[in-house]
Amino acid sequence: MKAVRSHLLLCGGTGCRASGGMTLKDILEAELEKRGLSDEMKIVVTGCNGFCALGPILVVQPDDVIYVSLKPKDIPELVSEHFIKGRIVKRLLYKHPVTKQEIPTMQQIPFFAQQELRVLRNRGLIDPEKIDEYIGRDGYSALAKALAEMTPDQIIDEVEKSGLRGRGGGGFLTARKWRTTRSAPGAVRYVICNGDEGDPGAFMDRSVMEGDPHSVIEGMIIGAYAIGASKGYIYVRMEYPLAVKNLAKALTDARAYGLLGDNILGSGFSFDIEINRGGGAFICGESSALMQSIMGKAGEPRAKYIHTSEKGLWDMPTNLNNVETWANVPLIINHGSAWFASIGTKGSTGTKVFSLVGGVNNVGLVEVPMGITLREIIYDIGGGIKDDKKFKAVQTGGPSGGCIPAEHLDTPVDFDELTKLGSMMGSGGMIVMDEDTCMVDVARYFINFLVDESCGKCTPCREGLRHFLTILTRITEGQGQEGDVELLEEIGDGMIWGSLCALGGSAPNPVMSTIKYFRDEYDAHIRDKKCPARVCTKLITFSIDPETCIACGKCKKVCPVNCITGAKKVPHVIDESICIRCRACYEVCPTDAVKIR
Amino acid sequence: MDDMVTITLNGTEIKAQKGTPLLSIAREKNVYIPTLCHNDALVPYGVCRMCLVEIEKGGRKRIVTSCNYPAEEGLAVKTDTERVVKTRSIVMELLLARAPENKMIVDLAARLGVKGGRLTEVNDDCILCGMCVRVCDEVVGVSALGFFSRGTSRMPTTPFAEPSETCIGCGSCVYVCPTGYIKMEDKDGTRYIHNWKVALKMATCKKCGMYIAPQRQLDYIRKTADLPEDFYDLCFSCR
Amino acid sequence: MSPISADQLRKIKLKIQNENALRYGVGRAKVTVHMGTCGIASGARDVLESLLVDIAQYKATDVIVAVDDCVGLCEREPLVTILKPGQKPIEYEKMNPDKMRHVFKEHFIVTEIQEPVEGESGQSNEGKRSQSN
Ligand SMILES: Cc1cc2nc3c(=O)[nH]c(=O)nc-3n(C[C@H](O)[C@H](O)[C@H](O)COP(=O)(O)O)c2cc1C
Ligand code: SF4
Ligand code: FES
Repeated sequence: MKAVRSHLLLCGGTGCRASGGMTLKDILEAELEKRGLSDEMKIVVTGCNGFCALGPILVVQPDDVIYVSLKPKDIPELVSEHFIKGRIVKRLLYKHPVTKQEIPTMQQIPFFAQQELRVLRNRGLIDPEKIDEYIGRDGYSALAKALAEMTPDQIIDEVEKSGLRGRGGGGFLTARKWRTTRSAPGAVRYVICNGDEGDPGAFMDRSVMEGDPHSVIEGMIIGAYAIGASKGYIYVRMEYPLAVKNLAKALTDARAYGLLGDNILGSGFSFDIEINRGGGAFICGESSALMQSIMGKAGEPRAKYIHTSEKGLWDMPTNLNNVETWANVPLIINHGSAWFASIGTKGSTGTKVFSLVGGVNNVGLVEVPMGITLREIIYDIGGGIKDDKKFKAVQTGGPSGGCIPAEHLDTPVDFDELTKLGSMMGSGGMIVMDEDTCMVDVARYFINFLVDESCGKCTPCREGLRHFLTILTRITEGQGQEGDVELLEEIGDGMIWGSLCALGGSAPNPVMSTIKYFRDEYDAHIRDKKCPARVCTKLITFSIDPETCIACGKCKKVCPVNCITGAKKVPHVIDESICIRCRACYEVCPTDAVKIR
Repeated sequence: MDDMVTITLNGTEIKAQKGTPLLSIAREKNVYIPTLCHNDALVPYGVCRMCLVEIEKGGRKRIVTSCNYPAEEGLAVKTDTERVVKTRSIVMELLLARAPENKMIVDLAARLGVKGGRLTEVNDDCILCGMCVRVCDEVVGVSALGFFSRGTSRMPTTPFAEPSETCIGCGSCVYVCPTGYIKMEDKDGTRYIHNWKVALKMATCKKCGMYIAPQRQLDYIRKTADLPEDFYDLCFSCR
Repeated sequence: MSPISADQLRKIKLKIQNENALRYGVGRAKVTVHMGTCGIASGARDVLESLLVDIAQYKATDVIVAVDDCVGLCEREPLVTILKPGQKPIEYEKMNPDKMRHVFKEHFIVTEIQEPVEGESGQSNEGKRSQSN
């Protein structure tokens, strides 16, 4: 028998699977077999590394080398060069977007270097389907400690001292919710994990549920013990089949080890968890709608004077927390509240996972200490704006978050600071926008999403969003009227104060924040009928500068409506009356002669 | 009594049963609060957002719907602060744009001093107060109706918008609908409720031959109230 | 799988940490076998095999094995470097499977169980030279 000398950590997150990760696994297996390396090199399929844009990712240990964007054809070379001869295959390494230098190890890649992995502590390190690997990383030791050494009150006290606030949006103090639920009268109590993650483009919760399901489960068991709950639900978004699969396997294994079920670890405490597939709508992530959905009813929010911590599922005391909130709990129990609160800001302790997307060089999932500035996230971790463009705004907090302009880039990121800026933490979406973004169009884009996602139950949200969309659309089409901005503000104000749930209450954010910071763009659209970012198709015209045109004919070829004329050596001309403003010519012109005005 | 609480309503101190909806207390004191989704026979729903009031508790001010907010000790309730009036007016304006030709809506807007004209009109007389759906469920017990779709396409309807198989044609939805959106018609011995695509045969009085009510409704009542088989043979005047 | 106790939980943890030491980068020592084309030609592959067999046999999974490119000392290949945390690396040259077995025992079996050994590094000294790279 031979010992294994190398672990090949192949990322098995949804992103890397989508870029062919599992095909790669088969090819790698075959190649190892062929070269007689099967018993000394072990392939481990891990959870998501968060660097999905560069997938499939393979980390080779103990050499600590990370390969990115692997293709099947790279495998033979990788095996013979690196695995057999010990030579790193440079061309498959990550390249610094600016210096173009190859970077061999994860720790040296700025995207990873600046992160503080707590919730994502096992990221890329364990096989999520193996409970033993989780245990090997201290897993379930917090549960053992909580059950053996702590009373429920002590646990809640510890969580309270840690300052942990809910990661699902509102930033509610977790311990306070737990205490209310614990002391509410009821024959049974429930805990729920909110894994609905409806924000388009966000995938932090998915990555935790897929990549480290036991961390969520352990947190829930500890929470259930503290609260006195006997039953738990994990509500997982419909579109997350892999998360469901890995969670289901994790629950089965935890049950087999007696970490779930009757008399957990001999403590006398009994608790079990069931998975619930989400209803598929954004609003189902809202606490009261989510509970309705678990009970098999339409996922609509309920009046807010009844607290779910007192009357939740089947009118019993129920505590709902987000995936990331739960995953933090074992850490607090293991390392103590002081350790937890040692990073972050006064009002927001610990770390937060963000999904950083949009116009930055490095997109992906990042975990950073609370209080880090937006600039650090965007420029240090994100590697700055793509194609050397200028930063314009960052949208935080999901579709109903707000847009924050450059002047606030040095704001420390925490619950309260983002709210002060007219945006919110939400569950951690972060979309970076460059100078080519039209802020009115951005507002319209988010409202267009929300208009279909509002449940439609209450007047301000349903009707307010309808008119938001109408007004924003007409502004972007050059039909805006004097007074439209004020009307938007009035409607927004009515929605904020009058809506039944937080969807309607926060839906005006994209509109209100862009008006606040980019009012001049609204005015340009309305008064001058111009789109300063040259995005709104009805407000721009295309022409070819005869001075710079080299008459190469490329534009003529790509134009889908054949509106470009010109012969050899004769500068080309666009017929504005036919042009559909598709940008095709603009993209192909080698001399930038196509002008948008 | 233990469960009496003291609140103030527009500055006046009032004793009330704990948990009573603020709207009921205000109505008793003749303080006007407009409502569109409230009906005393139904569980408060809190969706039209017309009944907003401002409450202050422990120094914190909030805007809540009075139709379902329960009276609590020490609550200060105000029905006409600037915030309330402003929010209610915009909600009214939104509803007016939805149903600009509906008399009830137009009259209420006028009463509240809200003018239309700024928003694109929708022309849908259903204001989604949900009274039809709720009365059918809570009072009649048939639950023939529900809501279809989300957001701006939300509407009350029968399952899959098919002709209802369970509707008994009692017309309760028609009677509670505040805007007259639900259309019912009795013609040639048949009751039509057009919105739910139902046409139900009416039972006739064995004596005078007058139409009593849809046969399905009478069967339903007889069954649920355990009445004798011949209970509905005669109309009320012939009994 | 059957229900476990808190004590068994700790045992699983230790077992896995030991098994996966190479993944977490917290081994007791790192043994590098230099494998470039010349190393392989001179039998480095057999040296590696012998090392892996020993690690498996003695369950010394916290001894991390790495393969590295040749270091340009082709005439002394196969080369093996042993690095223990906080100590200077020791390099062995002209290795073969037998020597490897010996070096392995000397470093990871004999010394670890603190058996008094005479002449400490014995024969293997002949292949030893001080590290200069
Ligand atoms: C429209 C809407 C959507 C929401 N979607 C989510 C979601 O997808 N995931 C989530 O954890 N919380 C979501 N929330 C927040 C939840 O209502 C709730 O506050 C949260 O799950 C509580 O957990 P926490 O205290 O751990 O943050 C949403 C809220 C609203 C209003
Ligand atoms: S605010 Fe929007 S989502 Fe919330 S209850 Fe009202 S209509 Fe539904
Ligand atoms: S009457 Fe209270 S919300 Fe409609």
